[in-house]
Amino acid sequence: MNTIKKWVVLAMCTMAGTAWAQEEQPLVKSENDIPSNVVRATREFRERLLSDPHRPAFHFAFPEGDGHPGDPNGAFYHNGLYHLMFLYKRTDGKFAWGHASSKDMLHWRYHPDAIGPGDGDDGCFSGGAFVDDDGSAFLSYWMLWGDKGIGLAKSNDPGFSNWKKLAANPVIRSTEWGITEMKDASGKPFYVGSADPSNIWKKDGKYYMLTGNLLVLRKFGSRGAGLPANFEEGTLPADSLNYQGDRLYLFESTNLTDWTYKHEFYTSDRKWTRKTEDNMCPSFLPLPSSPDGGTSDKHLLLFISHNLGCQYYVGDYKNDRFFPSAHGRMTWTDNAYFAPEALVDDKGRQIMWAWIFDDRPDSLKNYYGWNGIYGLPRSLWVNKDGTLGMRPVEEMKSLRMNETERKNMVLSGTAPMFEKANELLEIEITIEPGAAKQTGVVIGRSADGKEETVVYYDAEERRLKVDATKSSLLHGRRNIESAPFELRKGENLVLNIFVDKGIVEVFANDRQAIARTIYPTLGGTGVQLFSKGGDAKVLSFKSWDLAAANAY
Amino acid sequence: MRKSILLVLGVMFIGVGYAQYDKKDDADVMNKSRKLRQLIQSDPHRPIYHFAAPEGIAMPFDPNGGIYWNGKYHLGFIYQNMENGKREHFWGHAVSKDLFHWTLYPDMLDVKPGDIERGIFSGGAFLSREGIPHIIYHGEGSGTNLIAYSKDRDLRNWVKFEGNPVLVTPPKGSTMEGKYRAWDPEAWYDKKTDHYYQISGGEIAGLFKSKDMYKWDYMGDFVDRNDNKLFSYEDISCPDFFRIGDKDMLLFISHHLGTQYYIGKFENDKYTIEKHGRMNWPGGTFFAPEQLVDDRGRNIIWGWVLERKPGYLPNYGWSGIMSLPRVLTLARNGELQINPPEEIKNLRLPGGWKEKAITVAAHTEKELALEGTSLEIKLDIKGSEKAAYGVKVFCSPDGREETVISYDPVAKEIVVDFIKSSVQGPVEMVTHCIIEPDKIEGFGKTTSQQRAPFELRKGEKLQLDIFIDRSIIEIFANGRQCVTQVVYPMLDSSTKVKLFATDEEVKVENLEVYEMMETNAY
Repeated sequence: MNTIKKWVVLAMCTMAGTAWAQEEQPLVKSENDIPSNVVRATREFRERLLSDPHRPAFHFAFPEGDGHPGDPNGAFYHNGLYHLMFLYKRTDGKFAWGHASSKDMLHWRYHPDAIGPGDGDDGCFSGGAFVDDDGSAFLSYWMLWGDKGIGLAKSNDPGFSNWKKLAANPVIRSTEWGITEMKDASGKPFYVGSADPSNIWKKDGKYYMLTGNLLVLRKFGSRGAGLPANFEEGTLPADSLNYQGDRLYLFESTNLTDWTYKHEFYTSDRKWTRKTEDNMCPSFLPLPSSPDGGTSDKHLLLFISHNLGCQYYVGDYKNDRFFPSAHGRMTWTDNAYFAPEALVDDKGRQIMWAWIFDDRPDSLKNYYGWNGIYGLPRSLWVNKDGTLGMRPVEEMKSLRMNETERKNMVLSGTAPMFEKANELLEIEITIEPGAAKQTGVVIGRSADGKEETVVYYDAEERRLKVDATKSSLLHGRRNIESAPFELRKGENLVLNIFVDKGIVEVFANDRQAIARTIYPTLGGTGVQLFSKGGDAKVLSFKSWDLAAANAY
Repeated sequence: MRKSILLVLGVMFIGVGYAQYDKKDDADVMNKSRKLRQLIQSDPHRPIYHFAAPEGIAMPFDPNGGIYWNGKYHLGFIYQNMENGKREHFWGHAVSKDLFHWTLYPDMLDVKPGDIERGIFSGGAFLSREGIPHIIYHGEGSGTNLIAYSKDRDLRNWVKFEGNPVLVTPPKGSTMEGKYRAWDPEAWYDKKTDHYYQISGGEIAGLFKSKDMYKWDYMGDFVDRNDNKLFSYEDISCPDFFRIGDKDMLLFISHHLGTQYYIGKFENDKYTIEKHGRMNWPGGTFFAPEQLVDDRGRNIIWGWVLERKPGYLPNYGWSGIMSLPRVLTLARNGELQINPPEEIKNLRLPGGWKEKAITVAAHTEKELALEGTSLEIKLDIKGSEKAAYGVKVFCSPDGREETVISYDPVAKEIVVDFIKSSVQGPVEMVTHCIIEPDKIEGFGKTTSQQRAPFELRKGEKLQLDIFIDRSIIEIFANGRQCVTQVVYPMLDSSTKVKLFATDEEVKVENLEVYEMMETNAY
């Protein structure tokens, strides 16, 4: 079907005339009755969501409303269930945390909102979660707005549906928004962040938590007071040297209500990050030794800088300090993979989600009534060489249907196109790259060739790329995302690609991944393998239709 | 008490949350939708792993149009759209890969301008001669049966058949008056005869035959009502007719006593009945079944489980519960076997609690270590042939609430006793499903026990697989009986599970208890 045409028709339908604009007509006249037009509005609203050609079916998507910012927050695993919170903006402009739980990280059940405006908060911003030894769960969050600070909320009920903010909030007090002024031994003031708390963790009977530095950086950082951190690096004010770059502040507590500032958690290094970069949405957890769990002696610090997006350090955690030994990014061309959140489950797997920016125009977001998408749950571990391993969680396989496989095809140039007539698709390709300079696959190619997305390995540039320049006639960034990635000598290229309507996510050889929005409008389902600059050999091309997992 | 607080909150919320319901902007709709979802989610009696209607009124909530297609199970369900204070019956559409997690699609069937029907009533899916999915249904308010078909891979778009209506109730005064009527239909294509068949239910079930789905010939009564297997007042509605083993099974309801079936043979346009059985007994509410055959050849059925929600419970903005899917097979001796599909094991949360052997002394109870309101409880029991024994669920620690599931070896029955299922009791439920019979034979108007015939063979252990889910209990016994019961416990503390023995001790073996995951999104 011509999707553009459909949009025009849909956009012409106004809200007037739909159920929710009509007079209330209760079925039974009693104070206890729910107006039937509210029910109808809800149903029509769901059908509206369902009519959105780009609402994902197996990526976590917000049930309704404005997920901007839409950070995943407060993730934890307990008693067989994965809990995930999602920051969203209510229609009154105040921020709250939605809450969902799942056994398999694919099918989610919505709980009541975990935390939101109230108890002195004007809303809640990002934070993490922690489950104490007695099974009580805690959320750490940034209290809005002004000089409030960091708050905690607690839940003891078996389903974790009821959360109570601590009377001791703020447990870390701000002296201005997101910043706490302190004095050193000599009485000289210095500044630490009191924004975006990390997850809490427990070590030798004590609790620890990190806070982010965006506002400290803004106040004293590279661009001067009040200005956002920026891509370009301008002239620096003299007094900013102590506040440049990504930093985190470590706090310690014996009872979860009284927190003492210890010191900066690690020292950032200009070989990895820029001085314009902040550290926010931090998550600090031990790394397993494999995608299925196990233990290692490394920890992972996941975070964003607002200018360059999601990234991480792998390193050693000792003497209450973190010593990064490797750094990597998860978004390169821009910062569209954002705000990571992670947990460790009962198998010891570390699993992360991230918020993927939605680049549709506001008119469409408003029309369809939702925005907010998370990347697939990624299992993260440390490889023997100290680098980070990553792949989609094993549970993804449960969505597979109708497997097909093609084997042993030599690629010289572009192979004939074949159709994979499903907007929900998984592909697994193993390619012997041979002499090819570039090799990979075109997906979602429309019959007229006007739309297509290209996923490939660029051997010359040693990059994994997703070329979205022709992905959509209408929306999106339409650029090339390019991640550092190099095959070892004799190593085959293994691409695991997920297509979910408006999103493509690719994992390469268990050590690199790209997630991008693509917004195709022509409903193209063509798939084409290719090589450029030399022959490559496709050892195996497997594909599956995937089942939807979202309830709507 | 949490539930009374919820009740108050629920009422307050409706009062406050919806009081200003006259804004016309999108934000308002979004807020109302979110509030409604959170209100529905807060209902302590809404099942978490039984499919439940997403919102609003679903009464009737017949599962309909079930079909397995391209790797997925599609299930339609009747719900009521409220238009200007009137009920319109439409079919919602839910799709699943694993029988338990459902994705909602836009409506499967609704009424478009120009359609002759007012609403969509019961019906079933079938494949045409060319293998295209079709649905036959009763056009509510039109006195006709109608067909729709879908040619898209995902069965999202259904087109109404050009040859509609495919059956019309004979008008008053016509020669055919009273011989049949257009009502709950079932249809199939028979390869051997290269013909379509249609059953149209009602007080009398008529059989029809067609070469092309346009012109239908009346073939006479499908079921001989003179064999006295049903009570004389019972109708034959929601028929589903399918091959099982080497037999042909008619699954249907009477509006009085619920789901039942015939097993027999259909040959030369004639259905010869060999056996009749029930799947619901007075006090129970297993209703309006739907059957499909999947890629593994399994006959899977669902039923709408009528609610008996007491008036003192608040309106949480939804109704409509579907039973668990059940797999039907025929044993070698021709006996009907009923089991949960193996996919249900995926719903068990890790952990669980297992015990190899427990002895329960006469006149005692044993409380299990794992408790909850959404559980699977699987066990074998070796008991005596004289004294009843079984399992109690939804038990409060003080004994004020409990629902008792037992085997009565003397009466040879599985008994669900719900008289103490709520502190608001003694609990009684009506014995009929939708329509109360004029003349009751063999049971009263209300009861506190559902009793299903079931007999253990000599030396055979009682093998129970019990699923409880907030307000619904489903008991599978030795793979050949299944009893469904709704209950409405009121105490937060009614989460205990107990084994019990009466006059003689029993030995419980292979006990497994699992908390079950939530499959409904809210």
